[in-house]
Amino acid sequence: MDFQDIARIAVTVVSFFCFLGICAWAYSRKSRSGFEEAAQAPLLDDDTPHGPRA
Amino acid sequence: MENQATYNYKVVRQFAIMTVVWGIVGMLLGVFIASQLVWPELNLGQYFHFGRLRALHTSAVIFAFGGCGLIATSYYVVQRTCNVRLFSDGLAAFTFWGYQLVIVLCVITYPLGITFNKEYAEMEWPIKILLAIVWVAYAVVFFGTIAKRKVKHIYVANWFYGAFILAVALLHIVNSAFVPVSLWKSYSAYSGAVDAMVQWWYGHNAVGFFLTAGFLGMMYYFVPKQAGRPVYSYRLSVVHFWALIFTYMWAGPHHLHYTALPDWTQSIGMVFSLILLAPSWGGMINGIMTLSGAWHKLRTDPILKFLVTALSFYGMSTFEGPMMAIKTVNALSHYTDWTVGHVHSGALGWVAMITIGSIYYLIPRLFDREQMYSIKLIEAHFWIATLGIVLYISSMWIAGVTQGLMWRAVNADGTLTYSFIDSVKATHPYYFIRFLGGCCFVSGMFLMFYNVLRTVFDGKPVNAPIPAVPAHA
Repeated sequence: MDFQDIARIAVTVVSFFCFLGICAWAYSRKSRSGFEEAAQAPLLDDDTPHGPRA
Repeated sequence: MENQATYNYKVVRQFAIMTVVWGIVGMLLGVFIASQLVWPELNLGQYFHFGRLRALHTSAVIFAFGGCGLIATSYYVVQRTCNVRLFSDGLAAFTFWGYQLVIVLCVITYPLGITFNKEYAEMEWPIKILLAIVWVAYAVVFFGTIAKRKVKHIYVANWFYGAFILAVALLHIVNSAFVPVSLWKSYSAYSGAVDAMVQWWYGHNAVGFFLTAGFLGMMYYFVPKQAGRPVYSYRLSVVHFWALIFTYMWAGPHHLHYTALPDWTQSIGMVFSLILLAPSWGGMINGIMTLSGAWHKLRTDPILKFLVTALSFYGMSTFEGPMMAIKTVNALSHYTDWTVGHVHSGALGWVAMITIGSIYYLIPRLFDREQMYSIKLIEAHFWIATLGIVLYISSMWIAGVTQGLMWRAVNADGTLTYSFIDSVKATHPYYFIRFLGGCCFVSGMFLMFYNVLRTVFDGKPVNAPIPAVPAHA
């Protein structure tokens, strides 16, 4: 097995564990409040024009 | 600092209006080439031949209509969610005029037969270089705006837009590698099976990152805004984003089943296409469930109908796609009109409907109106568009399966049961139904154009002020 093959396998395996890490982070209790705040943010931004103001 | 007090809505307005214009142009071309298949006499001379106009149709609807819609919405979303004006007004204006120039050059060169001969990438090398420059400018404006944001967290829609911009730059540059022989002729730097694989690595990831990630970015802003509800599960959006990123790049070989491509490559393409069902449905479920608690709004709000129907078609076509990537199914479906039906269930159902819904959301806000000129016309547009899609995809399903079955039918002695022209004749009535479906869809676009124009002339162009304090500080 030459170096190129080992590099390919390594990148695939590292990517997979990286993905598992992202899942664990996303579903950890610590991330919850930050995510809730982020999900609310666009709704709190009022972008509707209210017509010409007097 | 006076300049910093408002958002740059001008470039959003320009791209939003051109989305509707190019939508009409691209879809009219689609209806015309559909009618050429019903009535071959309509192949008028070499310039307006099916073979040349088809490339123009696909590029016009994907890159002119879809592209303008993506750039318009991404410029709007990135400003509103980052709470800052665009990174550079000059560069943003350059992306608009540069992008329009690329489209016009394609409109001129494709009918003249000037082509690089790659699917969804037919433009010749001078246009390719111009597009690459414009795209890099677009990336600078988008990521520059993110870099100077006033909000700590980067909202999920921007993640999808960002992935779309980066991946499309990578795809365009790698697939475009060319050897020029004259001003208007060049050849691919790759050859044989490698060229085919690069082409479909590009082609499928154009589906994955242009037609999926980009429009999911749209979905993650406009569905919550229009429904007035936060994203159903923010953590699901994070997980399915990364799942899409890690898996989409591998799925391309399913376009080359049973070709000279090595068998193991085909099998990997098939497996990854099947895996893709999970992240795709993650996005679909997340979008649709955002409406939980607001379902009643669907009854009265046609913009929400567009957005939610788009998600339903997204779910349908991302189920159909992996199924068609299975080699045994592909043996029946490949090279038939089933593929064309599948593409349009995604293109009309998902891409066009989510774009139309988002543009209906944007136009009044860009022209200082509370809502579109006529809600009834949006409702009419919705139903005529839905009818058009149903006619289109159901006729292509029947036509495609008929073709597949006729091509593989053999007699007891091993000879083919049908000649090719038999399958063409059997398909003819369905081509007419497809033409009717296309007519419905494009007439909906004309209603939209009228509605947009009335809204524009009733309103006036505004650049909304940037709220002084970040809304959630």
